[in-house]
Amino acid sequence: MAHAATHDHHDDHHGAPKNFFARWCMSTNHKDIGTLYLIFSLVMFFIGGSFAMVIRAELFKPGLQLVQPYFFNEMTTLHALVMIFGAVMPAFVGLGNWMIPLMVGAPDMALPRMNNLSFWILPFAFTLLLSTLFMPGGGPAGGWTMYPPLSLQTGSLAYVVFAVHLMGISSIMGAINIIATILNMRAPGMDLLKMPVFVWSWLITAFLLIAVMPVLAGAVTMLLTDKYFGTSFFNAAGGGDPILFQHIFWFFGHPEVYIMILPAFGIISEIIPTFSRKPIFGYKAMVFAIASIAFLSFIVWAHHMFAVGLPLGAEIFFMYATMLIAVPTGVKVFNWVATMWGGSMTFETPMLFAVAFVILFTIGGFSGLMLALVPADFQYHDTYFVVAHFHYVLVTGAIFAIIAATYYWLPKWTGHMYSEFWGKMHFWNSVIWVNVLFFPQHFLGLAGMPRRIPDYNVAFANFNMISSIGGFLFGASQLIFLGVLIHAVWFAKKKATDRVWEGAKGLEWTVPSPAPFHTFDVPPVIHDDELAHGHLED
Amino acid sequence: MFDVMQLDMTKRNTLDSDQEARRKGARRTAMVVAAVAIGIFLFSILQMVWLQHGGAAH
Repeated sequence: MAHAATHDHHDDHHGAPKNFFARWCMSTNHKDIGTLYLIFSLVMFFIGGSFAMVIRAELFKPGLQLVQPYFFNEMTTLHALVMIFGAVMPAFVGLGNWMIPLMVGAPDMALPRMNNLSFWILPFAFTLLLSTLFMPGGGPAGGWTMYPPLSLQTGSLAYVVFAVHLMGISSIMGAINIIATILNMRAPGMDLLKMPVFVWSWLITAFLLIAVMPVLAGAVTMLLTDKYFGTSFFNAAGGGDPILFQHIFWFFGHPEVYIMILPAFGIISEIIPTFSRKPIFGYKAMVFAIASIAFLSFIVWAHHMFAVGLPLGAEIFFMYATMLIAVPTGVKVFNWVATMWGGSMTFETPMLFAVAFVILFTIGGFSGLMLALVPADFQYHDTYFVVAHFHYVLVTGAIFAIIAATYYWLPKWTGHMYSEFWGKMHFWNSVIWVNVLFFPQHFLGLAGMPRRIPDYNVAFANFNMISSIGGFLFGASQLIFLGVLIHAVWFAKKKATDRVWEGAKGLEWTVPSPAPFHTFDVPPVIHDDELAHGHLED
Repeated sequence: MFDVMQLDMTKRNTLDSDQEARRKGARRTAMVVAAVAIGIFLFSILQMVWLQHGGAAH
């Protein structure tokens, strides 16, 4: 009888492998693989960020001062590719790997060895992608969207396509693992409608990944065959059409941006209830809203193509469908606010980032709604208004959610509390400078500044200078984050309790901090009171 | 004491077979999802070939 009660502690005795190579290169442990993804994503965030610093340095003043135009275009292209595929997506996969098994009471992911392969593909893919900068002819410089015929002129296209394929395979395998884990490995009693919203958000995101990453693979394969194997998918002279590339790319591309935001919605839905000491308002509505957003994301792709000459009927359809996505998104924003309403709130660093997310992501959403209107988009398309929009939803949206999640779960991962003072310093610097960086870009776009240009009309000089100053200081603020992380992992003295946060509910808070190498080898007994959504009244 | 150990082993065996059943189910789910992903990849290329050969005009 005593053996059963102490079973989990018994499992700690065969913990992490002592050998470094065995532990980190051959890992089959969801916690270690999650850590690898998160470290990789942090490194890529700083690399992608350094590319942005080059961009903002060149745009600080009008004129071409620092870099050649081709290099500038390489920077804009690789900044996007690195941030999207190297920073944001792997960060969410890392958070999912760490937390999903803990949240559903599973001992590990369903397919642990494939999990390891999914991760280790990524450093190889990004080494290949970044190495194109040093190849004769240079790296990709036609934008991350790789529109032909311009992208077909990239000398290193084959390497770029191979790198994109590898990233896609990694994401697809990760998504397969998440679906298999959530559908098969939940502890008995962990019903689907008792799962945390973060788990729901990842389940739905995983289905999106399966549906659209293969489409990207198809699109870049056709670019490859057009360049090297004599096909004419996107070459009008051969009977093809470059606009077909845009259709197939954005059929992937729009769901992709929801892939980058839905897990963020899940994270915010975990953090706000904890620091409001109230359950999430409208749990079922939140789940249905995520599912609705995912469904609608498939029928709006051409809003990225309003200026190519689509038939009027198509433009009207895509306009209305795009506006419709604002409805379930609005439901979520209202429900986050309603969760806080009447709550007993405290504002630790994760909550600060979560509240900033709600406000600033909503600003990004408003500019998105403006872009959805076809006649308005004829003015905004390919201007800095678009750049402002997507940076609000991705930086103050996805990135802030990832940072919030890191602060929220770091004590569980490391067993130490991070420095709350430096966390708040990171927060206030980030939120101030990110707005200095991106808000003026709305006005630049409205005034007519195009995207993807290394030099600009002197009329745009003032706001570009303001934006660049914001950029440099926002970038510098992230070094505070790096310091907080290093301190928390290696130098922090203050130990974290198992529950860490007073209002935290869920299975992940029932394991010790730091979480043992093996958890839930014996499925936990699910007590509804311990779950955030154990009761289905809401 | 012997009976308690027998009960423990029975409980362990039940847990192991339950986990094994879940892993089998997970592998089946993974195969189905992977097949869907490969299908979408092939379809995305084939439908472009069809379009290029005047498919939509039929």
